[in-house]
Amino acid sequence: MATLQLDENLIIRMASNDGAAFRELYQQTSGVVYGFAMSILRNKHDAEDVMHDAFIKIYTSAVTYKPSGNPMAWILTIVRNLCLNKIRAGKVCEELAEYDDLAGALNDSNAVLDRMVLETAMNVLDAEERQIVVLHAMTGFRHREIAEILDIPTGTVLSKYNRALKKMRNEMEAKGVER
Amino acid sequence: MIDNNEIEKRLASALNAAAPDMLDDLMAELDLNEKPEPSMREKISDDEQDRYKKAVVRSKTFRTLISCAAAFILLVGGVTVWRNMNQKVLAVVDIDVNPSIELSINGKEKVVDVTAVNEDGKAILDGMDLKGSDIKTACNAIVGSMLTKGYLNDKSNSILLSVSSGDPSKGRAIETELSDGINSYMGSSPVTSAVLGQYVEDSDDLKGFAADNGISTGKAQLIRSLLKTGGTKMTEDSLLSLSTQELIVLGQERNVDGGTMHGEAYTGEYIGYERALAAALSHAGLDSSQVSGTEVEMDCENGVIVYEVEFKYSGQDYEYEINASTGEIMVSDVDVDDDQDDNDSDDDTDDDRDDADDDRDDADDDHDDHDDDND
Repeated sequence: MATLQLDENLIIRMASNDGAAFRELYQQTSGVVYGFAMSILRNKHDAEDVMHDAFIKIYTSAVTYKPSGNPMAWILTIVRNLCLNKIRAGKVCEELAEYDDLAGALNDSNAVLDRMVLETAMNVLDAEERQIVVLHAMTGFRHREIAEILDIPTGTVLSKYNRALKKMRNEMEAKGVER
Repeated sequence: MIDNNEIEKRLASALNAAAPDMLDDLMAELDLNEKPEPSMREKISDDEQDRYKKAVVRSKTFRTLISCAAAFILLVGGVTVWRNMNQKVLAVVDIDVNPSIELSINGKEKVVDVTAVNEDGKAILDGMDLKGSDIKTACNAIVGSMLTKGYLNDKSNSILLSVSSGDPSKGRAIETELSDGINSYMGSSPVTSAVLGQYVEDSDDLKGFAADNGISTGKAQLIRSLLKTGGTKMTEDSLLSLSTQELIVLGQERNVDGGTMHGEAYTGEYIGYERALAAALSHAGLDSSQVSGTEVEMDCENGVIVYEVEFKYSGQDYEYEINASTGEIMVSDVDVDDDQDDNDSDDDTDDDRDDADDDRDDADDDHDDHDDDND
């Protein structure tokens, strides 16, 4: 799986109010930012709130960014902290199966299967499993990198990743999905 | 059978498709343009040239003379409005933590000038170019940098935000907006912060006091407000030696007027009112059921935050000053209670109290034995 490579200079340029840099960063990362927030919060509206706040924070914190060679990890840590703050503050909505609605927007033939995979991930995985699978799927990060972002041992990431995908395969198989 | 790669590919595809498009809204909110704006000089020069050309073409008829005059008026008016909006300083915003930074903003609430008031402020501004930024964005960037560099943390969690302006109603509105903005920004950080927002009257006297002491006008205003809280031993000099955190804690504990507090300044460094009272009672060999008229308040003496404890017992006034950080009894004093004083020691007692006011150390000498016992 290709790793999402983000040019660190985009963040450095944003610190000088470079609108083009912000646009480019948004275009490259909006899917991951949203997907990661969804994997934690499991709710469309909350994920959208966090996505909005995350991009504002990424922009306003760009001046404090210290080049580390992994700007995606910096961005995902911002997203995770915002999600956790929302949960701690009790500001999250009840977990609603709004992913049905969201995936419903996809109406081509491939979209049916995409939607089923998304539903399965949201329904059968626990929160940590969802985060691990989404990060792996959307960033191509190694398990070690995911472990650092989620602040859990690499071994836990590895075992949860394997267990999560097995659960998803079993569920899809039970639904009669074959490729 | 669907494999792992296929599952991940489809999951990523579904989430990418579901992500809302909020780019334009975000760019508008952040006031971002993709092309750098032409410099102010270029802008006005183009404007002037354009209007000049139009004026020449139309000057051949009487009608165009009028148009030309109108254009001139518009030009002068336009330049004046433009200058007011872009160059004239509408308000000055001070952000004090330990680093102190002063930002001047124009009518569009864009930063036109940035000054580090102290050395820590310079460290915060190093590498930042805030001129032209929206003031809200600039405040968040500065506070973000203070967080990253460790100036803001769980123990030093207070931010003083002060706004002064020749237009008090606009100044107050900006103060409220920025205090709320910083409070909200800090809400998404790991530090539980306190923001004291205050509007500062545009006063030459205050500016002079601030400049003489190398502090921001915001910090100068807080010091002046604290001195007005009454019944205090604070002096300008003693408050000047305090950190912004200590000043905000004092402001919070003494309910200083003129500011709005969001959150709570960290006071875990101090022993607290109950322990201060208990230390004083213990020193006097009394317990709380024996005394009356108990008062404990936070104060500052000679640059040290203290709890001032007072109570009455058996016709005598007890007064203590307890180091708020260490619990050490710094001053203890016992006088005849004025209310019950009916003997001939009246004059002597007053003299003693005057001495104590003039020089705490002398007063303390009378009670060295007590202090030694306590140690």
